[in-house]
Amino acid sequence: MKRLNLTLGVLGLALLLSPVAQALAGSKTVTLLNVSYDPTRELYQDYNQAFAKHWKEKTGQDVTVNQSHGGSGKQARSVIDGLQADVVTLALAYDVDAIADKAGLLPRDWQKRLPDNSAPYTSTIVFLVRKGNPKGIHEWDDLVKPGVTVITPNPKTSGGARWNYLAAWGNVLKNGGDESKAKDFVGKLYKNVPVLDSGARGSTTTFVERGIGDVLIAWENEAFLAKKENPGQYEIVVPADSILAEPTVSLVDKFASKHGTTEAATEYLKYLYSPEGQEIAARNYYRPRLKVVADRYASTFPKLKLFTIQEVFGGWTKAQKTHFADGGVFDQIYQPGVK
Amino acid sequence: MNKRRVLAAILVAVSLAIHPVWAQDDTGDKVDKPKKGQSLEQRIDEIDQRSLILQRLWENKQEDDAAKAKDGAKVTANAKDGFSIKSNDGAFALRIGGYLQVDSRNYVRDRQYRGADTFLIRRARLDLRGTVFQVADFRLVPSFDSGVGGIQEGYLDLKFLQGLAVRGGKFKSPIGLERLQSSADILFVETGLATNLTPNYDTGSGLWGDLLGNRISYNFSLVNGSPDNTTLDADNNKSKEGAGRVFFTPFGNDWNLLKGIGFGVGGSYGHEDGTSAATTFKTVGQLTAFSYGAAVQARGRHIRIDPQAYWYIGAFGVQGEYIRSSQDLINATTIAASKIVRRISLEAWQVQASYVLGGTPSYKSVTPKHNFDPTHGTWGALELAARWNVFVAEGEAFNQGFVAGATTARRINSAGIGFNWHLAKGHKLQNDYDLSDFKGRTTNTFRLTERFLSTRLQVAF
Repeated sequence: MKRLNLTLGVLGLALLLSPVAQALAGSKTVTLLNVSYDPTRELYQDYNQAFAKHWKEKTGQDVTVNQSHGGSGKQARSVIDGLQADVVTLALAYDVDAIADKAGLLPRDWQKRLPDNSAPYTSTIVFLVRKGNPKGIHEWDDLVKPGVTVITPNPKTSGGARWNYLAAWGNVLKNGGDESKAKDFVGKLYKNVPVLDSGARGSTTTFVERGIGDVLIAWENEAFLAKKENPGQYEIVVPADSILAEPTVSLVDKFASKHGTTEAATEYLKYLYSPEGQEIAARNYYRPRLKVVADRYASTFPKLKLFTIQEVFGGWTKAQKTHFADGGVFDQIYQPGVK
Repeated sequence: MNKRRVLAAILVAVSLAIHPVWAQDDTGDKVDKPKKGQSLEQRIDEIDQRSLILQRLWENKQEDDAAKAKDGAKVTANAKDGFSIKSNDGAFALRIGGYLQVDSRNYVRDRQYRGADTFLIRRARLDLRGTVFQVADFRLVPSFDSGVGGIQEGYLDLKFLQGLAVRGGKFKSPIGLERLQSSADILFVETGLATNLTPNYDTGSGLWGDLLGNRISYNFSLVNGSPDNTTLDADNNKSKEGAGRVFFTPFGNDWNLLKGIGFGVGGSYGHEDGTSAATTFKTVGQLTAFSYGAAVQARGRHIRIDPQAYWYIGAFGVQGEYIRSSQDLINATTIAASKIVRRISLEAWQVQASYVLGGTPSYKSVTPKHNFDPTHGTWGALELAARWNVFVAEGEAFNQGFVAGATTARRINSAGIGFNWHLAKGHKLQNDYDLSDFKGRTTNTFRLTERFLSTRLQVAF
């Protein structure tokens, strides 16, 4: 009977441990999940290939990076709700802060772990107009003219949309206006918006593929990409003032630790700052941080006056609370279906 | 003017009804009026844009709805599924079931006053079943039976592969055919004599699954080793028992006449040492008719074998099994006697048949064609049942003094008939009459035939 007990016990234990055995046997390949914001598909397609080569050379291990894209706010909520990202590469620091605060998946001081406050590349907000610029869009003020249809995503879900909104608001303040004028201006702007997509890529689809709207307020990289993929159909209009957009990246410590991918995921983010990582960012129209790469691509990126969220709004926490929280300014100025 | 622009014009008309923001321009005029100075081409462009906007709004709404549907859950309350909640992605589910059985027991012409006529709540149980993360199923059955409470059944199944699951917890030992039926599905109010020789609930772990399109079911478990007709929550010795069953329903739905055939074998092999062999064997009237003496203990192997089969075809069903339970015992009345190990065998068999009017019988109870609903002239289903069952204890048990003298019969022959009225699946009124005769009794306790009239009202969901 004891032999039977032992035999049956070993059999049961073997079956229970088999998933563990499989995991150990598969340790030659590591898989990462990068949860990113909407317009970075092309960037990370290129970057992931380069990183896989780099990691193989460095460690001999194969790495597969799976991507998830969507509005930055939505993506952050997905991670909070359990989407097991190893890294997040989101549109703004506030969305990463939300993951730290609400789910405790990474430490609150995450931004200090990587250079430039964990923003390996920057961008700004520009306008994409149709060929010939038929509505004569040159500056922010032109977006509120009657008869102009503006495409921009929903700030409740999209990080790019929040940058767009704050760029519009900040432009008024930087040109001598006060909060009341800024609110009035942004209110008029959103009255010209017929469709609020959930993410920046959705807005690009609306403008480019569906042919809706006269002007798309877009990430600079998104505008360049749309122009490149549709030669001769669009023009980029750069306003005099815009906001310095700093998309941030972070390791999601708890999930990476659970998956045993901390080392690979950390290197994945660090490599964004490498010359090759910065080159890939620049090729995909993200403004690189590394000076040598930035100098090489200086002619690609237009010159304009950039203000930061810190200087105009006092940082993301204040901006989020004032403008984008439930009942905030955006909810006051935009009510669907009401003129 | 191309088709899209014609459609645009039509869609704008529709949009006026559903999208108020377009109902007025800045001047307050309705936009179905052209603006002053607007050319026809400009007008068409404007209408075209609006149709595109409507289309895009619709696309976004569909995407949002799909995302919400994926994260949402479905709540149902109906006759088929009971009360259930299930996430739209299927990863999480909870089903709340249960059953209540209210019985009456009458011992007819009971001149020896062996049994008390009584009403009782025979079973009152909740049955909570669920799935978590799509790979783990659980079941929890808290019991509120008269005088007996606690967790009747509780286990977790981890499903690694198709056809293979690992179970851990407290569950019915996988041996007897009638024992493995739900208490809400059995044909008679009380189980037959053969079920007496199968263990009830046991605690342990095992592997189980269905193969070849559910044509083969298997279950192999390592458990504490429950004595016959007993539930064991925790073991009281170091030995364990292996229990297993393989059951075949080889014809599936392919052969009309044969598709309801199932056959298999269950059994167990264990070792018990030092535990009291205090199992009592009850008549169908739930009176103790066979028991070992107080000093009798298990000392060695306990082996069971249970071939079994059923056949359900049309309105007719028959089910039967034979079981032999052999156990090494000692009679520790004296030191000398406690050194002598004897293998004592008990065996039993039972066959039960049923015929259903207005419904379909199966191993999992009767499904009426029409539920009881007098307002529509439907009355549920009526089931006629009969059974024959026998219990035999081998002579060695008596010759060596293992049995308790006061309540022991060597052989019990029992026959019964039943009339079950199924108002809906799970809801029924049962009426049974069983006659049991006792042979080779050691006392006059079972001199007379047991005439047991039982009734059950059951609600199950």
